[in-house]
Amino acid sequence: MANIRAKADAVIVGLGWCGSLMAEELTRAGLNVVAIERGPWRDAAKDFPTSVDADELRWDARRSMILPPAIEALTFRNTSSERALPAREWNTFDFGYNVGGAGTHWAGMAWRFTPFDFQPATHVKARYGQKQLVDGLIVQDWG
Amino acid sequence: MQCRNVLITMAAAATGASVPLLRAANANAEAAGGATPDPATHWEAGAANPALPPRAAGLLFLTAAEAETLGAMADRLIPADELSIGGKEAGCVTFIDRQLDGTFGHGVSDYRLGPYHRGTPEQGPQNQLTPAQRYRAGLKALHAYCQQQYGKTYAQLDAATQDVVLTAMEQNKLALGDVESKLLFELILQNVCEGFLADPVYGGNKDMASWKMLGFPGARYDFRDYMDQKGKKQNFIPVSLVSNSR
Repeated sequence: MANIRAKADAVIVGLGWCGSLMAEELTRAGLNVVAIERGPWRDAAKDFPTSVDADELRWDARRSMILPPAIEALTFRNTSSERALPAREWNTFDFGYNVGGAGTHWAGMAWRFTPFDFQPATHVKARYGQKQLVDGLIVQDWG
Repeated sequence: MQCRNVLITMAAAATGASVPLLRAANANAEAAGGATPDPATHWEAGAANPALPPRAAGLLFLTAAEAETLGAMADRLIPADELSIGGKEAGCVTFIDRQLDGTFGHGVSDYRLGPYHRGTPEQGPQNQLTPAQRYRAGLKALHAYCQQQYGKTYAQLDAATQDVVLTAMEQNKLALGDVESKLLFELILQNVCEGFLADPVYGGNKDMASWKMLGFPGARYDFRDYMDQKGKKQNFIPVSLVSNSR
């Protein structure tokens, strides 16, 4: 049975970072906006309480928050002469699978800054020479 | 002294907060016939959906012979030494058994529709067999190989010969029927490591042996009380999801 909903001014397909920003702008402009998302609604109190949050097997190894290839697989090839094949198991492409999209899991790896991150200009110059910092490149040390 | 009090307070807070949520989720799982919910698709409003502790005894997927083989392999991959217990005693076989009986073993998250073509290494596994099927077929062929070559089961071989067989698998020099021996070796190695290092809630890492060896604090969430104690060794007692959920 068709599920007919009221007309909206704008429909956003995918409410991740981009869709959310668009929704904010459009609603501020006074439009009635409907967003469509796949996957479950997740929030911290229910889905990632402290008693569950630190489970590396579940979240990292088994990627339980990520869109499973079983739901949608990408095909992949390195050159146009190869046959593109589906990435069947967990692979390098991690997409969100919930309201909020990848915005829900993006901070899964926020590494501690390395010495390089604080002094990129100095380190690049020391390793590759001044020629690497071509004109117009505004890279500079932070501290 | 102060540190110890903080630890106790943290443990109590974590335990108290999670108990009602776990009970609710357990009730849901029992209502659904005791099946472990698939975290990729399972969702219930208001339920925390924690990992459920493995059922205590017996094997759910592996045969006794398969379990014996995997136990011997786990002890070659992670032998007992002065640092820790070995893979078998740590419960890696129980871990693998529960994983193969669940969503991992059945490849629930994998794309499993045809057509199947052999690809490049960069294109990832293009294998029709689920992990559970790979274990079953591969261990059967390995058993036949050991019987034919040595007249013994894998577990009956001495450690040096067990290593010869494992090395041959790793180098893809063993013919194991439909199962590429290198892929099976990598799968077993991955799962043994997971069983040794993952939370005891999944059946391995007995008494958090690997975490104690590494000094890993376990499933702790919040270290704000220690952030200003730079350079000071904390000697955290590891915390498991099992104790978090009790």
